Amino acid sequence: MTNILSATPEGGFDLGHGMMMPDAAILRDGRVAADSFWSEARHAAERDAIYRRCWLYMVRAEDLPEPGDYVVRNVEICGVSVLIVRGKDDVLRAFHNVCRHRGMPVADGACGKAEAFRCPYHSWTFGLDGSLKAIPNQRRFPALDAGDLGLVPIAIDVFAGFVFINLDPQPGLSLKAFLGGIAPLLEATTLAPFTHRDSLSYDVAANWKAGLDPQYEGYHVGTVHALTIREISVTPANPFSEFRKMAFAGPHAAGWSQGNPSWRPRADRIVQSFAVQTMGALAGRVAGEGYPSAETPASLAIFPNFMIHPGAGGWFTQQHWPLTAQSHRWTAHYYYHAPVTASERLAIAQATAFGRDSGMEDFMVMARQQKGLASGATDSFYYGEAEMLPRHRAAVIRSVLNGAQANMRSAA
Amino acid sequence: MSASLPAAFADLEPFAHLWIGLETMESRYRARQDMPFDALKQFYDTTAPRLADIMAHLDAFGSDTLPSAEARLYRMVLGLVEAAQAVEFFASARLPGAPYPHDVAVGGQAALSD
Repeated sequence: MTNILSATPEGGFDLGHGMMMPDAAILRDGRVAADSFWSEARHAAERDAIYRRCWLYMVRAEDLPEPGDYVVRNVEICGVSVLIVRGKDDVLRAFHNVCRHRGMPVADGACGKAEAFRCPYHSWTFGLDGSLKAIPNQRRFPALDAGDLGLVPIAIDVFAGFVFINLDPQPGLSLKAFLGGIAPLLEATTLAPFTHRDSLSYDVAANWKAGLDPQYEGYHVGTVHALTIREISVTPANPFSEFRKMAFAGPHAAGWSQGNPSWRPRADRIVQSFAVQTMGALAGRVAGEGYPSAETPASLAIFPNFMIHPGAGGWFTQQHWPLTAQSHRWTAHYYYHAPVTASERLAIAQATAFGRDSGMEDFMVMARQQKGLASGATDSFYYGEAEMLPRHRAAVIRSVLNGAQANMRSAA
Repeated sequence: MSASLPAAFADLEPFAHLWIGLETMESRYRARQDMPFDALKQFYDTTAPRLADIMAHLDAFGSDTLPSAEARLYRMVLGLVEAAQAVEFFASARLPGAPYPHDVAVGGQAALSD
């Protein structure tokens, strides 16, 4: 059994490199090397030890309902374009989006529906199962065996409707083992009934872990979100918006908020008041249909970069994809029940705009933080005990990188 | 200016041109960044108190089949959502400290929210 659920962060974890322990010094002191947020060497090490080895969330299975439906997702840090397609046998497969002739991407755009994938360069054509179906003027390739030249497969697995891939040609452990004790919390995330979705993305001038940090703790809410979320989260009994409970499962973690059950929009905020009231009516119309409950974590953190939260009208998921050592791409999906009335659509528009603007509050801070860290002024920074989720994540990554280096030394 | 909104909301006509041509959340967000705060505030102060009436009017139609005048009115209240973000939370058209201009890309099924 790997990645067991625990109330404390000291438990061992397995990313496919074998069982490791989170770095004890980081767990104890919360002190993290500043260059972990800006060094090129660190960026490359995370690429090789984490993004080329871990299961990575890609897309919801219901986004690919029919044979031929496909999506393309880029894992920029690895320079990899992932093509995920549902076959005529209804099986989801993932491939490198690279023609076996001369390396051209065979699928265009972020998503679509295809009978086959025809390379836009010389029309080599691949079936939905990745097999090479046609080479124009094939007699000029007398030595090639088309049976060996299918699209290069990528490991893929689905858990509770969440489609993950693994760029390791031979993943060290299954998706189920990777998720371990966090799996029940993922399973309790019932996105399928929420058929209306607003999707946003934004490139942030900060390291991907800086992007994750505000999603991992409430400590910043009173300051960064003083104009927006603060009143929803900060109460006299919980002035620093601390989690009421935290749990850890291998590299993953979850935090449960105390919330502010008495919060209502200020009456002079006419549009927010209308939206919140209408969203409540929408919830009443589809009562019980997959909504988060009191036992839903405010932050469910699937290592390395996938976050799930209760949202204003249902659920909110986000990922922070490393681009360079000092930048990342935020992608977010806001899930709502399908609106019927104009009022419900307006309420959704308000909820997404509010989410976007409070997200921008975070992004502006982390871009400035990035400059501060990259200035070299300090060699370390600190996560407090209420920031145990990011502290744990830093301890996990430190150990993974130490272990990967040790493995390389022992192999040399 | 020719009438573009339903007759019951003719008094909001002076603001219609600001928003009815903007079909996406991205374009409305950008328009909000480009507008003086006072203009957003004037629009909000006039329109927000009418919101319940506007939405009651629009809800009487099927959500996918708004007549053209109602469709323009709906697009205007989507503009009100952006103006309200500025007025209700930031007291500023732009997020204080945010790069200007900036876009947050919208994808997936987001276009359906128009």
